[in-house]
Order: sequence, then C-alpha cells, then structure tokens
Amino acid sequence: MNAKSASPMSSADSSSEFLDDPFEAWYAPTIERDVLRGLMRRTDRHALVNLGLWLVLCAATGAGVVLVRHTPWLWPAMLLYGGVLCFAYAASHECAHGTAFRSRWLNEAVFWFTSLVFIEEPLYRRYSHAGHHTHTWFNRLDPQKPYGNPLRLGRYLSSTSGLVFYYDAAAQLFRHSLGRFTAQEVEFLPVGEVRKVVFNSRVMSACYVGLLVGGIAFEWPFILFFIPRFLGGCIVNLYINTQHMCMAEDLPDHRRTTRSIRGGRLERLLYWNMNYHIEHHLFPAVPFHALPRLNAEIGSQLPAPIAGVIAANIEIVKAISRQRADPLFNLSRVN
Amino acid sequence: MTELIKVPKGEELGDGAMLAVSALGRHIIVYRVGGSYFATDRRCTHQSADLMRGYFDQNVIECPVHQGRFNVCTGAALSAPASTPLRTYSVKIIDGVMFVEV
Repeated sequence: MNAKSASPMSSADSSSEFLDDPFEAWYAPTIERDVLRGLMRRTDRHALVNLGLWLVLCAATGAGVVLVRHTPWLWPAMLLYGGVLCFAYAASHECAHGTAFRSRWLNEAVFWFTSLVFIEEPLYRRYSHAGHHTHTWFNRLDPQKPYGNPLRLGRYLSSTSGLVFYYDAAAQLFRHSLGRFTAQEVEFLPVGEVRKVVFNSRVMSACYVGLLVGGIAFEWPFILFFIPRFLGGCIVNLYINTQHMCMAEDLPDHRRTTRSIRGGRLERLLYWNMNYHIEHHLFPAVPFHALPRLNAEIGSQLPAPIAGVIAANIEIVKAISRQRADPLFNLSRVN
Repeated sequence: MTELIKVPKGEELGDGAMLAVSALGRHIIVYRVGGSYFATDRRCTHQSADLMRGYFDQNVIECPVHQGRFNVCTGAALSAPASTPLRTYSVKIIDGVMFVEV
C-alpha cells in the first residue's frame, strides 16, 4: 500500500476546492459557513407547533361549516375552511424537502397526510420538486413550471381559481396508477422509484374514490373535503402565484426568477414561511422556522420583498397587461 | 491496489464534525460519528452537489440542494431524491495518524 498526503480543507473554504460542483454557476449570497450550518439545524418542536395550530384552525373553521350547513352561510364557511385546509400545501412542501421535522417518521407521516389533503402523490412530488430546485423557472426543464412569459389573463385566472386543478390532479393520479408517465416525468423519476409511485397513486386513488362513494351516501365528504378543497384552492393559489409568476426565466439567479413577499403572523403560520421564497430557493436545506433568521443574514443582498400577497398579485396583473405589448417584460428587480 | 491517503489533523475531528480531503483525483469527506470515523465520496449521487455544504446530523449527511439523505457509515441512500448509494472508504488510524484507504 502506498501512503499519500491529502490536501486538508477546513469546512470554511472547502467548497472553493470542489471545482466541478454543477450548482456553483448559480448566484449565491455571502454567508458564514458556521452561521448557515446553525440555520440548517432541525427540530421537531417548530413543526409540531405549526402543524398543531393549523389543525386547530382547520377544526375550528370546519366546525363552522358543520354548524351553518343548513343556512346560506354554508358557502362562505366552506370558503374560509377550505382556505385554511388548502394550506396543507405548505406543510406538504416542507415535508417534501424533509426539513419540517428532525424525526424522519414524523416528517414522512405528515408528508403523506398533507399530500392526501392537497391531492398530490408524495414521492412523485418529491422528485418533481427536486427538479424544480435544479432548474428553477427554466422553460422545458423545470417540471413545476406550468406557465411562462408572456402570461395571458386567462391563464392567470385559471391558475388562481384552480379550475383545472381537479382535472389535472385526477388525470395524473389515473395515469400514474396505470404506470403511464410522460417523457418529462421519466427524466427526473428513477426507474427504481416508478413502482412505488404507481402503488402510492393507486392507494390515493382508492382513498378519493372511497370518499366520493361515501359522499353519495353522506354529504360530509363533499362539504368537508371536495368543495372546500376546490373553493379554498383559490386562496392558496394567490400565494403560489407570488413565487415565480411573471418573473425572469432561464437564469441561474433566484433573485431574478423568484419573488419574496411580506406576510403577517397568520399568513406565515399557514404558509410555513414560504413568503421568504428567494431565501428558500437559495438555501433549501434551511428549515421553514429558520427562514426569518436567514433573511436577517442575507436580506440586504436580495431585492426587497413585495408588500404582500395582494400587492404581488396586482403587480402580476399589471405585468400581464404590459406583456401584451412587450412579451419579454418581467418583474425581476435585479439587472 | 489500495492506497492510503493521509489526512492531516483528521484525528482531531470532533464528534459530529466532517472534514473534506482531496487526493489522487478523489474528493472525499471524513465524518466522526460517536467514537468512529467514516468516509464517503463528497459528490451527491443524485445530481453531483457538494455534500460538504450539506447538513450532517448523527450518522446522516443531507444534500444541500435536494435534501437527498445518506447514511455515512454504509453509504446507503435513505430518502428520495437520492436513490444510488454513496461510495464509502475505510478510515484507519495508524500510530495516531488518520488515513483513508482508496
């Protein structure tokens, strides 16, 4: 055996010596390695509190639906309850990253439950979302980029209303249950995982069919799941719109392709701090509860956040109007 | 033929810490888990991200970009999107000096 001396590297400067990291091309703000390592620390406590409060809100607004079910207040009550329920999206997203809980079994259990509520098969979502982080807002490469510039008002309205959501979700679950995947899907889904996605899709499809059949006999699945899920989807979609809509495309720079917004306490609770969306894309290993602290560290290097969800959607609608004359216009605030 | 890569100051690695070494065209990370040392490739098997920038907790290293997770003791891929194991190397302490066998 031969003995050769290695070039030792401290953790502080190690990345500079790793010359062929494919993600080095992306914009990265300056942050101390030890600070970042501290921000990445996982806990169970933060997510348990967030999850618990969300469940309490679901129970309270759901009880409201039950109480007013024979009055004209039923529809507003279902909208309110559905709005809260659909933020299962945010919990599911954090669990897809595996950063919500330190305990893996908790992370995966909550991932399954919230994915069932949001109607998206979890393993497929984990892979497609990984693709989204690899190719954020690159046309034809980002598997979670459903629209691009120039955006049309009809597309904005259909995305916001979720009108096509049930059809798309049902069609995808049905396809995956039959083992059929599109060319783009097989690009990011390893062959060895396809069987698991097919199995999961069948389990989920059976759950929804069971709920639908139950809904024919009893009204509860409709007034406590399907209709609120549809109505409330509009609210969470307004938040999802703010993430990348009308931002620059095809650039390895999250400051230009992604948008952060300000949010009140309740919004940040329901949305699991995803209003810090640029920060999340820059450092996806930082859990949701540390994103405000991450913002405090690197916020001065990023564009200022938009005032809120309404302001961001107004900005988007104005951009759609402007894109009719200038298809290349986008809302990036970094040159 | 196996070769030993000397890891200067490797034996000073604290519990729960990791150290990157490069030699013989290889990029390797040495980890300390409990009282034992382990070594794996530094590149994530999913999309080649630098695991040195990842999150290391107990015996698991997590990719900084997609959060694929690996057991550093066995190299096993623990969760999607990582599905291919990391290559592992044995770590030897000879006369108080750390070596990685490649």
